[in-house]
Amino acid sequence: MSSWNYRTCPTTGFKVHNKAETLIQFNAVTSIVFLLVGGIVGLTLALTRWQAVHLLNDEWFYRFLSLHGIAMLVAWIVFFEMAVLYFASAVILNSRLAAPWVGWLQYLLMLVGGALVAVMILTGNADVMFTSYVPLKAHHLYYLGIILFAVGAILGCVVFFATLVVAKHEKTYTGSLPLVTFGAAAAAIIAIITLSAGAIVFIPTWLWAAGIIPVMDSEVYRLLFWGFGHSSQQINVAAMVSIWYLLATLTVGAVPLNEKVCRTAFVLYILFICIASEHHLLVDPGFSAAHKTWNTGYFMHLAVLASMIHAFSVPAATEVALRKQGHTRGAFEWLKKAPWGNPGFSSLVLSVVGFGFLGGITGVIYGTEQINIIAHNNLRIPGHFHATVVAGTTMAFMGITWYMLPLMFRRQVVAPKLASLQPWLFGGGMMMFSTAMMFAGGFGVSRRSWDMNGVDGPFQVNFGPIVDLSLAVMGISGVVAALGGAIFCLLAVATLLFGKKVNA
Amino acid sequence: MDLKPEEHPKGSFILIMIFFITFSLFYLLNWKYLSEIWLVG
Repeated sequence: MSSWNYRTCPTTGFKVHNKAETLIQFNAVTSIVFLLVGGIVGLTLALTRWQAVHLLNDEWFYRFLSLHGIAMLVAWIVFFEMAVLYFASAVILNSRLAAPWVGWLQYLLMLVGGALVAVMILTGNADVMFTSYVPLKAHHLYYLGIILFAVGAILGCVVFFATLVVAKHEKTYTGSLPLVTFGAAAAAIIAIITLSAGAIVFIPTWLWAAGIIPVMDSEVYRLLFWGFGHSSQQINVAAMVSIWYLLATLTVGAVPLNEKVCRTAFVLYILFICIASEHHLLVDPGFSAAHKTWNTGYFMHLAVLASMIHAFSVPAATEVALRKQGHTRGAFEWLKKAPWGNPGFSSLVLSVVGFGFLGGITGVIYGTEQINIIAHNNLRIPGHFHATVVAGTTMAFMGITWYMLPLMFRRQVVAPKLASLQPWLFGGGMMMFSTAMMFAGGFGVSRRSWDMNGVDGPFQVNFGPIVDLSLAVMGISGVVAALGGAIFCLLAVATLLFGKKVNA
Repeated sequence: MDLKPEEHPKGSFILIMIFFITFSLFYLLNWKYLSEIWLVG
């Protein structure tokens, strides 16, 4: 180990391997580019579902919906997670990154795969939406792009685990893995399960699209697809919770009250969270009612239990840290005196509330076998997952970025006052957006539908004015959230270009 | 972790109880909604 490969962060004391740092920087910047693309496209979609505006025509609506799903649910989040994995291994453990060339291969494969998918969608060769349900058929290069992306992400997980081995072997840390790294390891294990399911489903679909395999079974496709499609969101959950603990530590110096319980909760995620994917098949004929009820009524709740543990552990650790600073009056003085102007802290709180209250509660309820029949394929579902993935995961990732910029890019954040406003615009906007979406869905408004009234269909559906109001609120809050997202991207880029250098 | 009495996370416990009650009410509300549109018997 030559010493010139490392620098020591003056703020955190972390020893940062320069090759890990460069990889983290590339993955993080690329993720923000995809966030920008997905966000712009998302804004046009919100303005199309707002019936009074109805911005896009049907062709571009479905095209942009496909791009929005891939850019946001997959590219932005997985690129950022690669940065998190390298950070949680090499940086937190003060270790060198194992096989950096494999890390670069990960980056290139994901970049080429993501770009290929985006080009196929924008050129009209893959108007199949995020799920690409068979027998909808895209150009075979679209599926190849997803496969390349998935293989790249698997390589990122391999580098992460290899770095854990290196750190252990070279004794760069003592005792157990830090909780953040442990949570990242849980995310990486779930990622390998997920991405393997992706490879299993997309390789034959690619061959089918290329004309080599004559037929794909749509029911089998749906089963395997959701092993990838929903489980990929479970990677986000584990990564997001790890970042919650990290943010709580960085913002108020929080320490988990009981690390063993927190670690057990992560193990529960690994064991049970992937079976929750089956709720996408609740109206499919393949499984028996008993199977579905056992899955969504019983086993899934073991993963929910894990989230409940974290939902108490994170605020409790934060509260204890603030009480130790002297804010002990009554039940909530600590909350009043919390550092609300710190975008890292406000992002943490908004993420916990958005994910827990809005996304978590609705997810468990809509995923219940019986109740699913009144929620399936209406706007309640995207309302739920915008709360989990956007108000929850994306908000947490944005929050940690305010710390990544000085730590990994060695730049002070420009316009800190604007940065402290950003989480409120983005998080507040997304919570309102999700709520309005779920409200409209409660009246039966369908998801993924350009023509919700069926104007060109064999029969028309007329919704009351309350639905128009809900969709207007959805559109307006979507604009507010997009503004928050734009400020985030702008400040991140401006910090990289013009931020004052932090000496290391 | 050893905590002094004033350091116990009472506020978080109250917040989690609010969360739990919200969860239960929304769960019941959805079952009621289901029972109204999916009549059995």
